[in-house]
Amino acid sequence: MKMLKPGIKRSRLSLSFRQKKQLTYWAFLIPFLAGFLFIMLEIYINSLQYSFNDVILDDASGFHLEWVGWENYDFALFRDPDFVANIQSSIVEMLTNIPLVIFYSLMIAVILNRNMKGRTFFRAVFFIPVILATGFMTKADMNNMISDQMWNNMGSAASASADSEMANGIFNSAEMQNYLTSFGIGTELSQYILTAAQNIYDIVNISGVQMVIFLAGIQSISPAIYESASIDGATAWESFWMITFPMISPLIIVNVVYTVIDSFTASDNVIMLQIQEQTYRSNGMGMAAAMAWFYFLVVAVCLIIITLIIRGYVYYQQRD
Amino acid sequence: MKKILKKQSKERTPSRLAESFSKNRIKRTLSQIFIYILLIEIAFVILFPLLSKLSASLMSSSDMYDRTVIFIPRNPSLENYRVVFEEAFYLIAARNTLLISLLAAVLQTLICAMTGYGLAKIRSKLGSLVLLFVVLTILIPPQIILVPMFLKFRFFDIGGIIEAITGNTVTLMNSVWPVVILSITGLGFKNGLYIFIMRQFYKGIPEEIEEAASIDGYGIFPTYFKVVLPMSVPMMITIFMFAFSWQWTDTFYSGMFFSELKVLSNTIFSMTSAFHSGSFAGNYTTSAVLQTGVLMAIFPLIVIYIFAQRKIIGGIERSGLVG
Repeated sequence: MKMLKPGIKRSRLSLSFRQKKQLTYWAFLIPFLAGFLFIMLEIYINSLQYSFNDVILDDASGFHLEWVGWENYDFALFRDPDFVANIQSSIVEMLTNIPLVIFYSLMIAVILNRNMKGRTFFRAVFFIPVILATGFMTKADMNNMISDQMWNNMGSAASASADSEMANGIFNSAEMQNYLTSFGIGTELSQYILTAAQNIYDIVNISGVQMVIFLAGIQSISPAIYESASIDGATAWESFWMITFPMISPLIIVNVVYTVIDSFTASDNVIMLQIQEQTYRSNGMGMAAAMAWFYFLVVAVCLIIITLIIRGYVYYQQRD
Repeated sequence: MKKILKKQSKERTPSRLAESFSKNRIKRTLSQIFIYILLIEIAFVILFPLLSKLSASLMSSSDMYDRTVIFIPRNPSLENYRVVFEEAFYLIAARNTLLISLLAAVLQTLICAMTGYGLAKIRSKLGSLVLLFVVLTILIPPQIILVPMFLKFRFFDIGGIIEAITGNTVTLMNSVWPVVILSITGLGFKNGLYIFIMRQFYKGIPEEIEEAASIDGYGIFPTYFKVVLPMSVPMMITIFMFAFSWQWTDTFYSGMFFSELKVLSNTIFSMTSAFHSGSFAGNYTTSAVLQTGVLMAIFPLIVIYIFAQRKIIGGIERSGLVG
């Protein structure tokens, strides 16, 4: 009996110790939580409030709100001719892009991690899409197109906007389709491969971030693991699937989530363009906010479904 | 029989070895060539828009209007570069951009790494809720909260405290404060992504390392800053590069917060609008100058990335704790 008591005490102590530890970890979140509660929450609530109002601009105080209830949502969903169709098309685009982006970025990251000549050069080149991800160059090209029209400069400046068309035109799709079907590949699959090949310019440019994340993940795997695997006789192929892949699988989920978000919120997404156009219309801000919030809900649902599917395949090195 | 077999195998082994060796070599060179072709092709796709900008930037205005000049300028001139240097206040703007980007990137990297660590360690429903908030901040595109955000920083206040004390709200426009505040709270441009990356990264680190540190008598914070943080250097450099280059090329927040402050992403665009209206009208080929400006804005970033890449490899070797 006497032996039991200290045992119970100890287990209680260890429990409270763990709880204490958990509480200490919350300290890491203080800056983010403070910012979220005191700055962002108010901004979100304001924006949500706009979506239930007509935002009417006036000279006196900038603008005022007029309550309209669900009217904005009703209009966007049931009366606007483009909104729902645009949402559908951006979901389809996202679903086609995810596997391509993940496959491509992982492949390039593995290649760029190898020891080879010109590695620094290629890494620098493949980082360029990341730099351009803010839409910095797109804005410049847009400006150029506008000024070209204004000044009627038909010189080589137009070439910049034709870049993507040129890169897309590399493949002649009809011939390619015949070629692929001659291998006995089904029409649907060959169609998918063709779209992939034709979108290569876009895929390359939206995969920059994912590639860099994968590269960093691979670089932080200890070389000792590969060494011991190769002593045990593992081939490069085996050590990729047995070491690299499980070790970076937590980052696959990051990249899928990022790809989804990026595909939905990119500045050239059809919905984003529609929302932006709506914002600049006179008194259209309430409607834009309503569209944005509904769209946000759709994206969130997509994201949750996709994350739940992938989560089962992710390997964490921690015990739960 | 046995002797014969032995003899045969003895005879065969060296030649077989040589055969398989040369086969391996051929295979390796072939795959090497294939990889280089692939990389060069993709690199071309990435570089093509920049190369066309480079060629436009080197052209004199007579070349710009000459249709027979394709890609390689006939009368190369550095005039466009001179224009950008002077009209976009390149040196001042580059210095300002550098300082702001450095500040934002350092703050964001540290804060996001810490937040990510906290989220990786907390195992409760409340922790998942915070993770949801983090994803929320990147899910809601900044364009949508543009107006409320502008108003927030135009009439800045924290829960009515500042107004209660001074009787007035603070205007934070045209200062670095909006960027600092957003960075220090992990709410800057795409910071949710950084937090998420760091959280996933820390989840991938074996717990034994922290347990060993705690047995050695380290508390939670020393364990983090002395043991875990050095291990995450490669990941943090990556995030630093994201934060740095996105602050550098950011047009969205810069346009909103720094209408007077000279940063590259503003001056390059305002420079061309000056061409249309002011005394410069028609003197320069606007598009060529703008493309030159974009090149000059991007170039320092690529150089910085190459240096950072070298650091990543150094970082792994130095930390020595891995595995």
